[in-house]
Amino acid sequence: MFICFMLFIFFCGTTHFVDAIIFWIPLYRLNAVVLIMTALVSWITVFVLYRFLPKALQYRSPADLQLIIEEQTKDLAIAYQKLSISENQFKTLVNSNPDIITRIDKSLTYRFINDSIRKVRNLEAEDIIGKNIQEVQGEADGKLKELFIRHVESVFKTNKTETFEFEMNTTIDQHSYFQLSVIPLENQGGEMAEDVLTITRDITNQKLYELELKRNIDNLKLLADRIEKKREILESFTYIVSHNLRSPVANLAALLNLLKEETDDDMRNVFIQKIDIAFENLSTTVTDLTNAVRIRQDTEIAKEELFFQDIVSAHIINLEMQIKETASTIAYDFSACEKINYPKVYLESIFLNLLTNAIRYRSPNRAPQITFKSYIDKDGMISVTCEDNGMGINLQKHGAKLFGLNKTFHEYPDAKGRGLFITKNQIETMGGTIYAESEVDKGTKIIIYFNVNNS
Amino acid sequence: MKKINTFCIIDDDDIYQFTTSLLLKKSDLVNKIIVFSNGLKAINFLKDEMGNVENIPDVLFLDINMPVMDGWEFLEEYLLIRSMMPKTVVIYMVSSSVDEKDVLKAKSISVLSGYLVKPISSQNIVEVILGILN
Repeated sequence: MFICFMLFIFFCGTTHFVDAIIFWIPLYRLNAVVLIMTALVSWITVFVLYRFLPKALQYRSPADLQLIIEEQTKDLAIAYQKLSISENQFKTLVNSNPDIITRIDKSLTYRFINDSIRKVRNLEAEDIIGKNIQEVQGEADGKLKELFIRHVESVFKTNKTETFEFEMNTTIDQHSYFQLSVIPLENQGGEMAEDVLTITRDITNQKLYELELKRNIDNLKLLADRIEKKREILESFTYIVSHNLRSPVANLAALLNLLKEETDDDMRNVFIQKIDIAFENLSTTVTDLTNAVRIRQDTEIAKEELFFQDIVSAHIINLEMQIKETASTIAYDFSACEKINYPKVYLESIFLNLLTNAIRYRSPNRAPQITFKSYIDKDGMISVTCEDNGMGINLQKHGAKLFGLNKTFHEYPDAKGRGLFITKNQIETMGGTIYAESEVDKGTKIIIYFNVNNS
Repeated sequence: MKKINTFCIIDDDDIYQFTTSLLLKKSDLVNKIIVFSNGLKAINFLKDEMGNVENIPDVLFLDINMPVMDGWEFLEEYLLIRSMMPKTVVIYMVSSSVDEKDVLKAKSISVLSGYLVKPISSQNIVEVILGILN
């Protein structure tokens, strides 16, 4: 456009110049050429101008342009202000969120952290932003940092959110529990995250509730166990009551009936004698039961330090006659464990019963050999065994009756079998267990776990 | 009047042996009473007397809880020699146990004619004997 005007002015000037020259030099042809050029250029210019005219009309004046610029600047300022407000609102939101919110990039540098960090550590946001996780002022627990970095790196790899819990002492020296979530921030392209968002939430209250709940559940489990044990004992007692008392009571009933119908004095005396015996049986059973109950209830019985050797030696002396008569040999080895803290009466009773049972149930084919041995396991728990070479018991047939009341396995007048019932009660009340191994005509081994150690 | 020839009591409780024998005598329905204090003695007797019909008991009251060989074990042994017995023996299980397990177990053994619970009254005994005699 401007070139046209320039050419036009050039040719105009040239025309006038040549016109003037003609007065001295007759350059008429040159003049004509220049005139034609001028004409051509002016027509071209008109044509171009014609094309350009609509556009030219749209041009604003400088004043107008100034106004427009001012308006747009104002709009821009308002928009910027709105953006500022919005950004501040978000910042306030993020900073007033009690959780610690951070943005961390792939190089493990903090790009952002909200002010909540102040509550937990003695740091300001500025102290952390721009620093690598490793650089940030060391916490007391380096392991925690390791764990954190491991999770962040893992999230970058898998692009999946990870959450873990940890505990820490905060600025106010409170022991708190936290839950930390590491979330991959998806970028526009939908590819792997370039940053992660971490949110650390104080879950101390929930955690404390959870721990208390666990404690309560554990306590309840213990309680349930204790109740179940008591229930079992109760069941065994009711069984004993219903079974062991029925026989003597039935006998008494039969005898009393016969007595009522009998007129002959001699017969009556016989009946009365039998009633005495039956009553004695009943009475003994009741006494045994009562004793067992008393043993069960007395969990607070006093314990003292007792030496196994002393107890066994005392019994050997007391049973000297029997031992001689039966040609019994009694040996003991308490080298593994010499002593125990236990109620004296119980321990004496236990060893006495073991010894008398072993002698009583001796084999008719050989002299009785009875051996006592003590053991101590890896937890320091004490146990004792009593092994004999007697007639043994068929445990499959009579096993259940072995520690029951009034149960006999062999035809012996003295074989009341009460001994182990009391023994079992004493041992179990003190928290231990007793069981037997036996082979008919080989011998029997009684094993007692006292469930006590000497510490 | 018809009577039971030989009545056998197998029980370790000697007072029970005494009272039951007395009741049987009083009922006047039994000729002879034999007593054993455990299953082993009884089964040995039966084995020994296999050839003598008159000595084999007609009725047997069997206790459950006895030393050496209890009621159940006796029955096991008895089933083994049953086919060689010269006559049918009516066997009742007698016990002070009302445990359902025992009652059901007794029901499952065909050779048992019934289960009686101690104490047995004289009425019971008479009923049972009359039932057998008819």
